[in-house]
Amino acid sequence: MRFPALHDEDRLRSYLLGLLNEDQADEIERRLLAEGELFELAEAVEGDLLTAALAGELPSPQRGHLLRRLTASPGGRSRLALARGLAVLGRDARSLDGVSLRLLERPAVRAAALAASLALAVGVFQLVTTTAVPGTENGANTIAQALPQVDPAPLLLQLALTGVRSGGSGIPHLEIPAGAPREVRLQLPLDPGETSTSFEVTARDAATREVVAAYPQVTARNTGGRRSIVLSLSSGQLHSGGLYEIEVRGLGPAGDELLGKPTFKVIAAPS
Amino acid sequence: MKESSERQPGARRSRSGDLTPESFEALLDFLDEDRHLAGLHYETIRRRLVRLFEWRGLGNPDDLADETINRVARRLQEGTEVRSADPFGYFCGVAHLVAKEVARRAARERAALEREDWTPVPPPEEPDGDERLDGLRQCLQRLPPDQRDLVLRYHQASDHIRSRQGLSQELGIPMNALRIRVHRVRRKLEECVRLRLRVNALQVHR
Repeated sequence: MRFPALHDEDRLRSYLLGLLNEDQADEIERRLLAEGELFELAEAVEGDLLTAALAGELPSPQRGHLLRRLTASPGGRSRLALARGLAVLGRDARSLDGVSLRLLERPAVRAAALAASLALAVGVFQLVTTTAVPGTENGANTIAQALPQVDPAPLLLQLALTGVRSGGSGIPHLEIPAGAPREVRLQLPLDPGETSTSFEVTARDAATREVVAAYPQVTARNTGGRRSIVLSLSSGQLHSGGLYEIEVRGLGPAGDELLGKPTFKVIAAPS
Repeated sequence: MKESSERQPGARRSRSGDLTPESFEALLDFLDEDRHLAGLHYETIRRRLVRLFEWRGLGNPDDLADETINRVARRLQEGTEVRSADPFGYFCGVAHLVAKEVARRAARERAALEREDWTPVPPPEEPDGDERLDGLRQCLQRLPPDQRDLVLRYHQASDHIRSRQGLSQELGIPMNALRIRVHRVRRKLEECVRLRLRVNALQVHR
């Protein structure tokens, strides 16, 4: 199979980020329609750009251009949601890899892992994660503690959109238990008179300003009789002791409006 | 063209009803003498037009792709002679006209909205993030392990550029080949999630 040249990739990035003039865009579109390999590369580059945009790796105007264009169509929104989901699950996988590797350095856990493999071979159970206690002498005990833990309940945190500011004494805390990453669900109730039709939400590390997650077009959900913004994160995206800021902007016919920047602190749950 | 079609030539949708059997025949003749190949070319062109309209930020890309194809078909039926050796170029020219018309119409509508009070129209109801994420988890589980590992590793690093270069060296393939390999897995996942959400929606409505 022939792959398009590397300069084509640069050209496609510029096209997708809105950096080409009208004539240049027309020319690349003619080629995209006629050249299958180039078209497929454009779709692949778009996927990479979406990942970069969600990770806060693109300059703001380019990120804005890309997300505005894609959120205009159902297909674009679907690909954006896929990129967001893969970012969350990819980070979860990275955290799990780290946990597994660290645990396997311990002799007791290596023995447990071997025993667990045997148990798997006879089909007794499916080992999903190992949560061995250091110093356990008996491998069987360790296996008993390592029974599958699939989809534990999400960690919930409700945040008020106004009234809580970074540095204040009333900053809500999110307790994250040790172990495999968990889903974190943030709920932000809206004012009853809020007229925005959708919302742009950005979660940042308040100290480094790094974007942890970005949601360019969120619609409100009815929770307990009140409209709320509900966000889903992975605890693997947050670190213990970190202070996080959730910037919420309302999107409506008159443009966008900052509705609030609530913060919360992450702490390790007592074991 | 390599992209395949699930539909047979002649079985196309026509939302606007503008495409008559005669103009559709003229279109297929223009695309290829072989009816099967003509059908494949038709599907390829339509799919790519949808993407081009999406990349221009237009909200109804399927309708605009159909409109473009309908106009080309009508012109062909009316006897317009296409001298270009590149049929794609002809479609692209018509698509640009359609896009410009839409942009002009949108500008007029925006100006009208700025003059009057406007009641916001709620965006169409779409599945929430949790449902999508659950669907994605299930779809990942259905992938062959090597594809699942590839797509997760591709998306898991904080330093994407360096880790992808490492992945490309590990697999012994150029970066563009890696990108396209991952893109094909993403397409599978996108289709799988879409089907799951549709099934869920049908179950809710029952």
